[in-house]
Amino acid sequence: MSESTVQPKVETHTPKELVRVPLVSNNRSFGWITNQVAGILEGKMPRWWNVAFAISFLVTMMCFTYIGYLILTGVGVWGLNHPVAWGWAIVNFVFWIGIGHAGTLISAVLFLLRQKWRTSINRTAEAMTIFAVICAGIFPGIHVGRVWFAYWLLPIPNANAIWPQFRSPLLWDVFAVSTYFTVSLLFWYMGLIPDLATIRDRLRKNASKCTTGFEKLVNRIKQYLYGLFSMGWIGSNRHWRNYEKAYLLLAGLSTPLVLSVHSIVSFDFAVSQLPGWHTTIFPPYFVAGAIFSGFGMVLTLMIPMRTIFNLEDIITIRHLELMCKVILATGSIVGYAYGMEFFIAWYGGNPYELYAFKNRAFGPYWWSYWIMISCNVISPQFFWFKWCRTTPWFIFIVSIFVNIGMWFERFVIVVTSLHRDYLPSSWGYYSPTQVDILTFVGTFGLFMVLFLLFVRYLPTICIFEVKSVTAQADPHTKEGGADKVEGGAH
Amino acid sequence: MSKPFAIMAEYETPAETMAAAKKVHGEGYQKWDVHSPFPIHGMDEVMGLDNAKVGWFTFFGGGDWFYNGYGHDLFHEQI
Repeated sequence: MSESTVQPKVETHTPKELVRVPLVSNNRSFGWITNQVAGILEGKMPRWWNVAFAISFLVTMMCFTYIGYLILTGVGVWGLNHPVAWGWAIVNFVFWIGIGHAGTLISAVLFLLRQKWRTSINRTAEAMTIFAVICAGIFPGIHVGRVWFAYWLLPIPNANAIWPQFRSPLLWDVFAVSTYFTVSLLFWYMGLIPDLATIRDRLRKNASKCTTGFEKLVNRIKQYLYGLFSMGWIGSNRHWRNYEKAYLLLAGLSTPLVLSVHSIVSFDFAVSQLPGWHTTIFPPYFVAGAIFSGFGMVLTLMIPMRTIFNLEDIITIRHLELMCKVILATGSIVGYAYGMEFFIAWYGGNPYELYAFKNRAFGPYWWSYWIMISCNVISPQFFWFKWCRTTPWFIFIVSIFVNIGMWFERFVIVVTSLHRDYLPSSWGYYSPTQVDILTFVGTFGLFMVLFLLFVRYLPTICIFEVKSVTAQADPHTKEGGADKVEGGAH
Repeated sequence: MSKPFAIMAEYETPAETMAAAKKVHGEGYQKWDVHSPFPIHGMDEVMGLDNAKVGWFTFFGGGDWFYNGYGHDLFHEQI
């Protein structure tokens, strides 16, 4: 056989080595990372911070004023009426809850999948999650009508035998959201412990630089508080061992929350019998939309932050590009879900269902539907192009569109399905009132107040995790000192 | 000269720290530790530390949740 004598052609050239783009650019040292991140909260805040805080604070106060007005007067001050009994309050609730999902995905799912690029964005994303859930939690609380009975949502055994309706998805929401908030807060705090210890130690070192008595007092108070919350962290390897295990387990436990919370939120609609709501696609479609909107908000916050605080070497273009890819993927899933809803409405043969969808796209609320489609389905498609994924100002604009589009998605789902139901005599047109609009605007103020305080008092980047993904942290590399040790690290 | 209270050494890189830890562990010291600003992977093995016990706490925490959530139904008579 002649074939057996044929020698395989041996390639003589060495294949080109594919080097990964490092997660921290310009080969920055450990000290540089600490100085850069800790420097943000140790230095004096720039003037814009004061201005932004003042504005956000006033807007928050406006929010609380309108809530007070609502409580004193009644839900009649909102635009709600028959047939649209759920309006902006539930839209805003779902919007804010959805925003939070990116934080949990980044901190839990990407951690389990060993996506190391999460390290520079997880702290801010988790903070965003917590603040967004706080904003979300306001709305169901004030939507119940008699706000002073809001605690009836909790299953508190009492003498009057008042129990919540366990068959109502709104009650499931209470459990889902409160679990979500608790776990997110714990996860965030746990990630902060080593970094709080870093800040504590640096404060102690800087104490000698304090000149006035007041500065010394502030330094002492800060040392005490950062020290209290860092729980005596000293960076011992015996602590790291437990810490890493606990972090892993917490990541595993919060992974179901990425899927469960927005699934349960979608049950608020899917469990009802209303055309346009009663669909099985809702849970996955809501989860994808939530992650989509959350990454939109992460980018909206991160792009200005990295420029203002000179963090471009830690939050690199590669990080932004990867987030854009998540937006593209989840945005396309959402687009598919929009299409599939229409298809099933036609294919299912239910005339009410088909009418609900025709009415959604071409009825009185056509404008909201097409805003949603153009922001959520069309705008992320730009991210197929590398230039679009790597140009911060462009990403920023798209991220704003994503935020707007995802708010409109919830508006479309809630309002277009409700405003025309089975009986044409009860059809109506819903418009928000000034109170609706300004309460929602006010929650952005609250969100920004919390975020600005976070930037002011806590390390915005997870210092130790960013260090641990650099080459010099790996004992098996030349940068990590492997060449200085006989026989390598082991 | 009196007996020293403790001995401390500082290293520049994770690999050097690890090599030193390996030596110390080989000498059979009991009360010793490595401090680092970030977790150094592989240090647990070098120091001869076994698996962290956090998992057991989590497991029993889950057991507590299960008991509270379902145990009352499963193991106790209801009104």
